[in-house]
Amino acid sequence: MLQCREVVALVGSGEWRAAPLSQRLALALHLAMCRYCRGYALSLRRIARGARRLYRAKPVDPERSARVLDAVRDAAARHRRE
Amino acid sequence: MTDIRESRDRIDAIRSRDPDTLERVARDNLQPLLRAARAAGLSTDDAYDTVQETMLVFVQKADQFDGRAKVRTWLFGILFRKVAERRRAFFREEAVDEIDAVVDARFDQAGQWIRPPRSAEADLSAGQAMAWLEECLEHVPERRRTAFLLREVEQLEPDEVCNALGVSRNNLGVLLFRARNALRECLEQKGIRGSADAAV
Repeated sequence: MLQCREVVALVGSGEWRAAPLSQRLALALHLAMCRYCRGYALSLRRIARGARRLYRAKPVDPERSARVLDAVRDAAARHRRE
Repeated sequence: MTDIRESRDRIDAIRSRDPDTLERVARDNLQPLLRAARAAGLSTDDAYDTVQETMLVFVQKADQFDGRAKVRTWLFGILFRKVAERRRAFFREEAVDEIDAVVDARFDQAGQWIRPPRSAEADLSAGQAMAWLEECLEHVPERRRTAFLLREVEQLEPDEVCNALGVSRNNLGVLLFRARNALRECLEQKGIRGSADAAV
């Protein structure tokens, strides 16, 4: 039986992905029975989803972005000629 | 693109420095690279400069691209080497950290919860909660925040994040554990304070 602390270590680090099948099953069983650990895992998923929305909503500077892309194009053309 | 490797045609186009292909790669990766540079602690100006330098190294070395890693992983790898040149502290990570103790203090000797998580951050799509999340992200040290960004926002595979940041799988686990728990603790604090304010 996994301890709650072990569940938090596995879920918080993402190490459960690389864990053996027996441990992943023990984790699933624990989460099915323990509402606190379920709440913990859920809060991490919500935070990840919130972060995705937050970062992706940040605007970029179109002029500066265009300059970077132009520089890439110029450099590619220059290297090709050489 | 969801597969781990790049297609043969794309590898050839990158290696021969086809301008359309290279511009396309640059366009597709511009925003993720800018976000990563900012998350790693660079100012907006430095982020644009560093991303441009990264792209130019990419063009310069494109003929050596072997397609064993995805092109985005390669770009992130170049970016973080550039970031480390600007910010030496970026690649330091402490063996122990206070967040480890904070999480540990929530459990008893038997590893059961003493202070179980609160669901104060229940609805993160609400404006107030998003503002809190943004504040909390600012307090997460750069390296952890960058690992978190690559994994959760850019949704790179764990091995790609390790590759880009030059860390082991174990090390990545530590970075992500600390980032996620720091964010969770921070939001829980704010949530509790927020509801206390609302009650006044």
